[in-house]
Amino acid sequence: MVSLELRFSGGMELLFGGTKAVTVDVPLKAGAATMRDLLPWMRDHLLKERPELFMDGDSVRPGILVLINDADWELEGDLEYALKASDEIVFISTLHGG
Amino acid sequence: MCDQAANDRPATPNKSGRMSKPRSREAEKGYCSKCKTVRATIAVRQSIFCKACFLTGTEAKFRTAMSKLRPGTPPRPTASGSSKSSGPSGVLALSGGCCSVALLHLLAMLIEQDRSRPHAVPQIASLSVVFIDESEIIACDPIYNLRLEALVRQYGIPLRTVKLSTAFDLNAAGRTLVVENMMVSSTVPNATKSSLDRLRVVFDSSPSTSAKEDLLDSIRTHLLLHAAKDATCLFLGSSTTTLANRVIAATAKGKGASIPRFLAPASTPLGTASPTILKPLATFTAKELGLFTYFRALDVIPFPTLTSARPPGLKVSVHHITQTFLAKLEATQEGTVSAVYRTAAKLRTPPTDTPLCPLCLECLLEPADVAAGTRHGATTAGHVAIVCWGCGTVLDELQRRDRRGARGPVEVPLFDQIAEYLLSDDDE
Repeated sequence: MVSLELRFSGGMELLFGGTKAVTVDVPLKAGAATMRDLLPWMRDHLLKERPELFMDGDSVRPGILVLINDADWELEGDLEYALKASDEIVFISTLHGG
Repeated sequence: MCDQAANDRPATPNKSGRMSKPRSREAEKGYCSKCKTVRATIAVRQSIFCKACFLTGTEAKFRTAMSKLRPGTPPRPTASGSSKSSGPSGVLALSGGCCSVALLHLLAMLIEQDRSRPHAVPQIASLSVVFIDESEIIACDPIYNLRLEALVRQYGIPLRTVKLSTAFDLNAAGRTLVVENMMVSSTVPNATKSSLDRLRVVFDSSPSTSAKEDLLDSIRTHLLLHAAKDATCLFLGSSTTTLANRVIAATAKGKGASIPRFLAPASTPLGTASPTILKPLATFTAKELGLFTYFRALDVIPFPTLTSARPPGLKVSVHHITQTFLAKLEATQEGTVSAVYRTAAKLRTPPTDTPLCPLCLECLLEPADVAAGTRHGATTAGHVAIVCWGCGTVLDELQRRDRRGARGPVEVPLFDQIAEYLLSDDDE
């Protein structure tokens, strides 16, 4: 199990029942499991509605930003980032813009 | 120079298969391309920054954008003919999205900084906020309005909420615009139906989401300009991403001629006696603004739109398709959105006396059609409608009752800019 802090912002919280932050114990192996494993787990266990608004294929829907410990996930390895205990992962939607 | 060298290098796939160009030479070492001392954590515009440099850079970029826009220059003449002497006043159109929330924060920061420098000429002497409440046609949790009020209150800036149905009250004579088949006319509305009833009929009766979105855009523009009529300028939070989406959507809808006008960072659609529309965030991408609002802990309020709950793969409207298309391209080909914006921004229109479409305030009217008194979707049988081709299509679509072809008349707000072109029932 790996304990993660998940945060949702910019409208992402709507897909997760209005939850802006949640600490979860994910049944994945720390150091071996990656973001590629986390996203489908979130879709299957946390998402309350409209999975197509969260994921597109293996990754998040275009327009959703992901920060891992306040760093852009593009610089942290994207889907291949290896999860560690107490990681904070933030999902920010830019699709409600204006 | 480092960025130029990086721009010349070919794009390569990263670990997840996305194509991206290597960033600046310093960035290849993983350090902030600005301070070069701290490891970079933010990747925007093909450069990488630490969080502190990203935030200060964003604020500095905004100050530069505002200094180039120079609100209040030249001074706008008042009704008495004299120029305002108390400094430029601004009205900010706030939608609750990350772009306009970021703009609110940056403008408030700018005003505060100018106040702390007693000898500086303030770029904005006063600021108020306008919010167009669309809950009359799009169901919305009332808590969102409370969050918006709390957000604006923390800056000490006055907030004015304008209901969408008040668009029917803008015409001084109290008339509305009726469109039926090829006929367009103004009429005194049925007193038994309220403005709210009329608004709901328009947006509930037609299956065309694209037409409803376009009409909503026009109504918003007119309401905002009316709300800001006594101000020097009207601030819109349009980002590079928003504007690039509009470029593609406008081209698809036959309104490509409007591109130079809505891309202009400053414009006066109602002439120099009306507020100047300014877009100081035109060179910021949605990603930059999304990150900025998160790091500054600003409350982004996700008010629903006509298509916000629709699946991305469903073709619900031209704007929806365009937004999904460009977002996907940007995810795999970073820089696409900026390229679309920068390329389209090179378009220029020569100065002209030809009037603008009175509905969208963006497209020029064809001179020959103005002279002949005919336009798309209109006849000269005593009633003349002067709107652009795109708006004519919108009015035509709004008359559809179902996808099998049933049609009916539609009653929309009559803006004064349209009224001057129309004969009314009383004129026959």
